[in-house]
Amino acid sequence: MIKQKIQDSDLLFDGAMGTKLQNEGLKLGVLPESLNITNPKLFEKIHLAYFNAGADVISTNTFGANAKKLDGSGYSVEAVVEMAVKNAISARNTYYAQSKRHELNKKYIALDVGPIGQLIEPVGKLTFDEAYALYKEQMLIGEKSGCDLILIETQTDLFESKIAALAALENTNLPVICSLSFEENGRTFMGTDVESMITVLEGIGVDAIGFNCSFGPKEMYDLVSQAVKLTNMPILVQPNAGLPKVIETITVYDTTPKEFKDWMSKMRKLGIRLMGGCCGTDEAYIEALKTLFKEQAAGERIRVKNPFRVASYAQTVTFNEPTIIGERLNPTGKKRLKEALKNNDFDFLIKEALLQIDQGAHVLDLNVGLPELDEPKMMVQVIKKIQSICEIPLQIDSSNIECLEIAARKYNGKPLINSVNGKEESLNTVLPIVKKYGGAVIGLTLDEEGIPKDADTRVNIAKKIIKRAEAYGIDKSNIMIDCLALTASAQQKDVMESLKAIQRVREELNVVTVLGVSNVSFGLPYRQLLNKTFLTMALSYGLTAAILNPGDEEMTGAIDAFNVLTYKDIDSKKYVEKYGHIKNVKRIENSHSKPVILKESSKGHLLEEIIKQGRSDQAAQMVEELLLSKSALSIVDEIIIPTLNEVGNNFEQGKIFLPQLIQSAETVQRAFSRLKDSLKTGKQDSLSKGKIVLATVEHDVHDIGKNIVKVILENYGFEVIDLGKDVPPSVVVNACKDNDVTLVGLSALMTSTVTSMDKTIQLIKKEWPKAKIIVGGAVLNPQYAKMIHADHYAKDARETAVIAQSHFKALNLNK
Amino acid sequence: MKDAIDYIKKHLSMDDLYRYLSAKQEVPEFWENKVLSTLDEVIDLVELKYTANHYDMQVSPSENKIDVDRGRLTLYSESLSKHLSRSNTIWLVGATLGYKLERVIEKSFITTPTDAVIMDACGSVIVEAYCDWIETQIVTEEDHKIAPRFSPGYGDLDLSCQRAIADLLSLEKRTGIHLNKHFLMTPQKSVIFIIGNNMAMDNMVCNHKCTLCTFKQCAYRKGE
Repeated sequence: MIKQKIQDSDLLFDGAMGTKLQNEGLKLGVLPESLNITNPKLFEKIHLAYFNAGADVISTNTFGANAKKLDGSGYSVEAVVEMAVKNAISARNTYYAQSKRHELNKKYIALDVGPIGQLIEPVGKLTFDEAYALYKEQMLIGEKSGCDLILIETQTDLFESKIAALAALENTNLPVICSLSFEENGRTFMGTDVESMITVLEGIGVDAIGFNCSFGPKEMYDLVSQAVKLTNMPILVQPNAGLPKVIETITVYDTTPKEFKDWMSKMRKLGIRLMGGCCGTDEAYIEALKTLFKEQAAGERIRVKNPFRVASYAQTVTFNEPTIIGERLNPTGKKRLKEALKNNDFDFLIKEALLQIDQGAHVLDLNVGLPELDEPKMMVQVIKKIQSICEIPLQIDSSNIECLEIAARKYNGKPLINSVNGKEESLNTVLPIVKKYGGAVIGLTLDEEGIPKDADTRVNIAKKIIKRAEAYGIDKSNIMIDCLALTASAQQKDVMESLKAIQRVREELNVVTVLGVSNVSFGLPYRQLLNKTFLTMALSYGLTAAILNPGDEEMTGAIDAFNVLTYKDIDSKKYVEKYGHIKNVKRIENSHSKPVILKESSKGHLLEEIIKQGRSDQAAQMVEELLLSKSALSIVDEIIIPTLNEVGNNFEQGKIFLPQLIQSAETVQRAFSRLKDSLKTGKQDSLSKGKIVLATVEHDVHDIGKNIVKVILENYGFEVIDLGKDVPPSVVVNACKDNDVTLVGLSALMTSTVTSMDKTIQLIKKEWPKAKIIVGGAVLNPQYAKMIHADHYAKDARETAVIAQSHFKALNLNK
Repeated sequence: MKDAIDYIKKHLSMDDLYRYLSAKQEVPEFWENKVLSTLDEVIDLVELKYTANHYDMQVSPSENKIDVDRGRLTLYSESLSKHLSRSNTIWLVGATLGYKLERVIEKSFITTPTDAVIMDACGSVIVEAYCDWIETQIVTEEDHKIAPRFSPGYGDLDLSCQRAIADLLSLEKRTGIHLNKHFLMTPQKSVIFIIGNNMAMDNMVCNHKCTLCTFKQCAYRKGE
C-alpha cells in the first residue's frame, strides 16, 4: 500500500529530529538514539506534533542506530531501534485515537537510516561486507519492530548508499527510499553528481530517490530540476530550513515557513509529490507544506526516455555518440600486464587506465582472467584500486559467473557487464546478476550453434536476448548488442553480415550496438588499414560503441572524422581543437625512427645530464641508444646510480629543492621502465638491488613522506612493496614473510601514531627478526627511534636510500 | 567561495610553500613558474568548506580546564588555558579543501610524482590561508584582538579532543571531514582550530604556531 503511494500519491514527510533534540537541550556526548530508551515521552511528543501538523510519514529516531555508532554506549542496536519504533507507533496510536476519520488518513513509520559515520574502502577502512552487516542488522530489527518503509538519508557517499540499499532490498520486504545530501557545486562531498546518483540507484530497485539536508529549498531547486529530466522515479525532497547562521552563540536557519513553502511550490510544479523537511524545520514548516499540498496539485512529471548509460560514483557516460571502450586492461597477449597482475603491481594497472583515459577512452574494459589467479578476488581488488584514483566507468569483462557477480556487487557505480550471449546457460546465469545490481549488459549474438554467418540469425539472437532480459525486468535501454566481427582472411564473404546486423539491431530493435573491431583483420597484413576502414563502415551502419585501443590514433582519428562528417561534432569544434595544428600531413614520422647520432662516450654523459635536469621525456630514448652498446646492469651501476648520488648530494647541500630531486627521480623511473623491457627480452640478471617493505603505520593517514621515499628508493633500483597508509602491524609482518624481506621502512607523521610504530616494530622483531627497520616522519628523531628499537632513523628520502644501499651491500658481502 | 579564493590568492605564504619544498636558496625561474602554475591548478581543485560555532567559554586556570558552552564540552590543557586566559568566548572551526584535491594528489603520485609533491605543499599553504579567511568572516571588531589559532595536538592539548569538537560541530555532516580511530582527519588537507576573543597583547608573542609546538626537531619548524 505505502509502496504504491510512493509511486503515485502525495506523501508528506516530517521535519527535523536532530535540531529538535538540540533545542530540547541534548548534551554533547549523549547519543541522541539513547534517548529513545531514557526519554520515550519526548519522541511521542515530537512524532505526534508532526502527525498533527499533517505529516503522513514520520521517521524514527534511529539516524545513528548502528553498531559502530552505538559502540561503547551500553545500548544495543536491538534495544535502541525497537524502542524508537515503539515510540513512533505509540505516537501514531495516540494520533489515531484523537482523530475521527483516521482510516481515511493512514500514517506511516519510516525507519530512519543515516550514514555509518566511517569512510568505506578505498577512501577509508570500513569494508563493503562490514558496512553491509551493520545496515542489515539495523534494518532487520526495524522491519521486525513494525516500520512501514526504510528511509536511507543524508548520504554523501554513493557507494555507501548502494550498500545500504542492497542491505534493505535483500533482507527486508519494505519499500526503500534513498536520499543523498549535495553541496553547492552540485556534487556530494565524495564527488557524486545528480546524474550518477540516478543512474546507479535507479537500477538497483529502490522505490524512490531523494535529496535532503545541506541547504534550503532555494539551493535544492536546481538539483531537483536536473533530476526530473533524468528519471521517472519518484523523488523525495527534504531541504533544511535554509542555511545555518550563528547569531551570538546560537545557530538559527534563515528561511521562514512561508519562504520554505514558496520554494517548495516551485518543486511541486515540477511534479514532486514526496516532500518534507530536514535540519531546522519543525511543525510550522510541515503545516506550511500541508497547506501547499491542499492548494496546489503536483505538476505533471516530464516523461523521460532512458538512454543507454553507465556510471561510476562520479561520472556518467551516455552512449549517444560513438563511444570508445578502452581494451588494454585485458591480459590476453599482454606480457607486462600479466606480470603486473601476478605481482600485484597495481600502479602499472592504474597507469594503463590513466593513459587510456588521456587518450580518449570513455569507458574501460577490465579483464583479469589468468589461470593462476583467483579471478573474483583479483577483480574486486583491481576495481577498488582503479576506483580509488579514476572516475571513469568500468566494463566488467569475465567468463566466470562468480567473478561477474562479486564485481557487479562491489563496483562503485552501475556496472556494465561483458557479456551475456544467446546460450541458455549464459542467459540464465548472467541476466539475474544484471537485474540484481541494476547493471547494463553486452549481448553477444552467438548461441549453442556458434556465431551465425548471416545477419538474420544474429538479429534473431539479439531479439532472444532482449526478450529474455525483459522477462527478468531489465529494460532494453540497458542492453547493448555485439554483432561480432568475423575475420576477413577466413570468412571474407560474411564480413558484411556483421554490418547488416548492426543496422537492423539499431533500426528494428532500437538498441545500441558495440563491436570489437580488430578481429576483422586477423591474419592479414597492414591490419591497421583494415581495422580503420571497417570501423568507419560499422559507424555508418549505426555502431554505437567500439572496443579498441585508444592509443591507436588511426582508430580514434576515424571516429573524430566520422563525428565531423555526420554532424555530431557541431562546427567541427572538437576536431579542430585536436587536429588544428596539423597542416597537410602526408605521413606522420615516427619520432623513434630518427635516433640522434652521438659518440658512445657522450651518450652516457647525456643520460647523466637528462637525469640531472629531470628531462623525463628524453630518458627512454637515450637508454635505448645506450643499450646498443651497454648492458642494462652497467647502465644502472655506472650512470644512473652515480648520477642519483650526485643529485642527492646537491639536495642535501640545498643546491636544489625537493621538486628537482623528485623530477630527477621521475626521469630515472622512465629510464628504468625501458631497461626492464630490455630484461624481459634479454637474458640478463634482474635489476633489483633488493626488496624493501614500506608502510605508513596503523591509524596514520598521512603518506606524502612515505610516497617520496618510495619514488627515491625505486630509482636506486630497489623493489618497493608499498603497503600504503594506515597499515596494521600484522599486515607489515605478513608482507615481510611473504616476500622474504630484510629491510622495512615505517613512516608516521603524528605523535599519536608513533605508538603504532612502536607496536609494529615489536611485532616485526618478534616474528621476523631478520628484518632491519628504518623509521622516519616529521614527529621522529634519532633518540625516539632508538627508544622504540628501530635500527635506523632517516631524516629524509635521500638518507633512506643511503641506509638501504649500505644495508644490501653488507648483506651481499656476508653471503 | 570566490571571496575566499581571492583572499587565499592574495594572502597565502609563498615563503611557507618553498619551506615545505625544502628550498634553501632561490629556485631557478623554470621551477618558480612550475610552482606558480601548480598552485593555480590546486586552487582550481579545492572544494572549500568550513563550519564554525561561537560559544561562551570559561577557563579555570588552577585546574587547566576550559568549559565550553556551559559544560557541553570540557577541555583539559595547560597550554590552552594559558592561551585563552583572558577570553570569555571561543570559536570552534573545522575547515577542509575537500576530497577532489586529495584524489588528484594520489593520482599524481603514480603518474607525475613531482607534481604531487608540489601540489601537496600548495594544499598545506592554501588551507592555512583559508583558515585566515575564515577568521575574517567570523570575528567581529567587538571581539577585540583574537588569539592565534590553536589546534588539538599543540602543546599539551590532546588530539583526542578532536572527536568531541567534531561532534559538537557536526563536522562530518557539515564539511565531510571524517576522523579515524586515532582522531586523524580525512581529507588530509583539513584543520580543526580554536580561537578566543579578548586576547591580551602580552600573550601575542609570536604570529606563528611553531612556538606553541613542543617538537623542536621538526623539519618544518620556523626559525626562532
